[in-house]
This record gives sequence, C-alpha cells and structure tokens, in this order.
Amino acid sequence: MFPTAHYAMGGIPTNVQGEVLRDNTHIIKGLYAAGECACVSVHGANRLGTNSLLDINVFGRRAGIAAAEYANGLAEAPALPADASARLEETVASLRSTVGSDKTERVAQLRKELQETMDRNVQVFRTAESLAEAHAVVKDLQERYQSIAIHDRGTRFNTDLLEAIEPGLPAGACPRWSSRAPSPARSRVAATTVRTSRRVTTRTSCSTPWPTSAPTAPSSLDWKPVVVTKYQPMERKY
Amino acid sequence: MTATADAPAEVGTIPSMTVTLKILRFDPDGLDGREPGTEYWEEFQVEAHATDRVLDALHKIKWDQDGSLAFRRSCAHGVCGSDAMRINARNRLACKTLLKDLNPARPITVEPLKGLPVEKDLIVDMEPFFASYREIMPFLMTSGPTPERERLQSPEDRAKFDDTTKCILCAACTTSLPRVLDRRPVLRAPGHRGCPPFHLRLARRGRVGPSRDPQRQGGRVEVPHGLQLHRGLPARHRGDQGHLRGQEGVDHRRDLGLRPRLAS
Repeated sequence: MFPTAHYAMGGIPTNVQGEVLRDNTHIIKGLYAAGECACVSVHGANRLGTNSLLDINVFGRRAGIAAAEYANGLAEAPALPADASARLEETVASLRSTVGSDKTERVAQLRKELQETMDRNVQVFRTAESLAEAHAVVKDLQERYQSIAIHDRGTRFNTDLLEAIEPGLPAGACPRWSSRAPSPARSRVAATTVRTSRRVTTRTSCSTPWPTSAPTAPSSLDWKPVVVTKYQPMERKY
Repeated sequence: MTATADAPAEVGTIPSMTVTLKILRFDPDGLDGREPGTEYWEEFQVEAHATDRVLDALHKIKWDQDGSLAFRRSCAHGVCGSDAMRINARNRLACKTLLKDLNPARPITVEPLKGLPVEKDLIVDMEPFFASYREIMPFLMTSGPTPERERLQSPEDRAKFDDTTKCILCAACTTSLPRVLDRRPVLRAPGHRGCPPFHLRLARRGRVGPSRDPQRQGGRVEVPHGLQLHRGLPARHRGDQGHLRGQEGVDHRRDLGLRPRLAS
C-alpha cells in the first residue's frame, strides 16, 4: 500500500460562472477554469464522493456556457503577446539540451524525495517545524534540479521530458505550500496547524494566487474571507 | 535469468530478485540510426520483489535506466484503465499484474496492445476504440415525457448489466479478440462499422428491461446500420478485469432486442 493523490481541493479561484479571479474581487477576463483544477469554494474542508460530478455537471457546464457567450461577444480574438510561449519553449529547450550531457541527477529521484517530505511534513496536520523542514528539502531539490538530465531525444510521446517538467520544480506549488510558516491563529481549509487538542472548523481560509510574473518570483499568500451563512463553525466531534 | 536472494531472508522481509523484461519497442522518430517506425525487442534487468507489479518494474526501467521508454499509466491501481498492455502474450493491466504470478524466472515479455496503431513503445492510439464506443451511446435513451422524479430501475434489471459497470475502458478485452490476434483488425479507422463485443454489452447499460422506460418496454436500441456484431468471447480471451466472466457465448444481438442473428 502507498499513499496516492485522490483529489485536489482548492485550485484556481473562480466565481460561479467559472471566471478566474485575480484576487478576491477582480476577474481575469476571458480566462475560465472548471473541474479539479478550479476552486469555486463550495466544498469546504472535506472531499466528499461526487464532488467531481458537481465540478463537471454544474460548474463545467456553467463555465462552458459563459466562455461561449464571452467569445461570441468579441469582435475579434484578443492578440496574444508575441512571447506567450517563450517561457515554456525555453524550459523545453534547456531540458532537451541535457540529453547525453554530464549531468547525473534523475528527476525521478528528486520527485521521490519531494513526495516523501510533502507526505511527512506538509500533510493535513502540520507544524511550523515540519513546514520549515519541508522548505529546506525543497530548496535543496531546487538546486539539484539544475543538474538533472533526461534521456529521451524523441519528439513524440516524450514522457521523460514531461516527467521532468511535471513536479513543478524549480518553481511550482510545493515551495508555496512550505515557504511560509502559517500564522498559528489561522489554518487552511482542510489543513490544520496542530495547536490545540480540539479541532475547530476555521473561520478563515486562504487562497494561494498563482504567480503572474516570472516563475522565480517569490511566492505569495493571500487570505480569502470565509462567508459563513447557514452552517456555523463549531468544534468537530465524532 | 533470475537469482533468488543470496542469503535466507529475515523473517518478515521479502527477498528481491533480478527480473528480465523483454519489451517490444517502437521508435516513431528514427533515432540512433533506426528508420522511423522501427520495431525492436529490448531486454532490461531490474531488481524487484516478487510482490512488485509489472508497472513497478517498468518504472524502475524508465526512472533509473532508460527514460525514453514510453508507456501510459495514471492511477496505478486498476481504476483509470491507462496501462493495458500485452504481458506474456495476454492482455493485462500492468498495475494489477504481480511479478510472482508471471514466473519471473523467465523473461517477461511486454508488448503494446494489438489491433490499435502503436504511437511509441507501449503507447497505442486509443481513438479507434473510443470512436466505436461513441457510436454505441451507452446511456439511458428514453422516450415519452420527462418524469417528475428519477427513473428507478428494478434490482433484477440492474443485475442484467452488472458486469458492464466494471468496465474501465482499458481496451484489454476488445483487443484480445481472436481476429485481432489474427492481425485482422476489428478496430479500424473511425467510420469503420466494427464494434467490439464489450461495447455492445455497455450499450445495454440503462436500457435493459422495462423498469426505467415503460414506453419502450425494454425494446430495441438504435444500432448503427451495418454494425458488425460479434459472438461472445471464449473464456481465454476475456479481459483482465474479469468483465466478461460468465459471459461466454452471450448473444449480444438478442440482449439488445435485435434479431438473434450473428453477423461476422
């Protein structure tokens, strides 16, 4: 038996039309997200069965309709910046150039160490110490990532290249999870800083905005207020 | 090819062994002096436990020895249906096949599914399979006005297609058809009127019996004109998931309310 990713809660923040939010109030016009990548903030701190059905049947549909309406209302498609794909092309070219080089690290080993530290230190119950430890490991992995080499020179189904990009090193989500020790008074949705023996559904959650600038920009956290309506926060009892 | 552990294993530990995998590779690019589209066998040795799966062995090759080896996998526990391949001449899921069940003392042969175009190494183009699946439309197709409440189904009718609910669309059973093994492709390019038997079983889903659609009285379903229907599979060709267990000799045409004639 081994741990496996079952479902990702949270994600790209959207409103109920699937429009991606830049912050708590402003949308990014023309960008839509739905499904497991998105976060409409309807699930709360638990992943229940059929959450994905809500994602696709309700919000997938709504996002599709809204995106079609938006596209139909445009006189012409907005021009993409000339260098829209530059960053990815650079990443791919630089990874391809490692085939046959004297670099020796394999991304599979780095990924394994990343998984182990995330599993041990950045799980549901985490402490400031465990996050600091994970942060140190991720920093080390990011340095070693500079020495990875891929084997596959192929142009079709080059999964070796894909796997080298997938873990999000050097600047993916992992450092963002671990880069800042949480305020002990606040907890993420579904992630609790071990502080007291009681478990209380928290009033605040936070969203982690995706970086819009360079991939090496420092990660930032922002707080998103939880609107409490019918169900009041209370101590969780079993 | 296999060595058992040199020293007796401690209590509770699983001895490791060297396993040989003989993999049928396909190079679409034509690298290292090969012609594009070259097929060739390559052998790899990996250290593994008897309780490891074939998928673990493939990962050890890809991650430590040759990153260019290409295969699909996603969930790695028999749910997503990505890693169906031909292992020791039988279609199975690599994530559900244990080395100890394969006589790891001999080289284990691993090939892509037959009957579907190979893209690279163990990756095949699944589109002909899904094109045929879409043609069948395995959904509840009703007639009459929409009811106020959900369409309930009787336990008896539900039991009739219970086996189809286990289908993970891995294509393992479809591509083990005798005619595929004979290199007479069942699955041709999209548009070809061929239909794998399990798709027809799927077509029953939600359409069986009168309980969900009284108007239709469990009657005929629309099967595209000229569709080829096949006999039920003999036991040795059933899929890895056991979908077709007990379904040998099933007449799919009759199941679907069509005349009990067998084409092909």
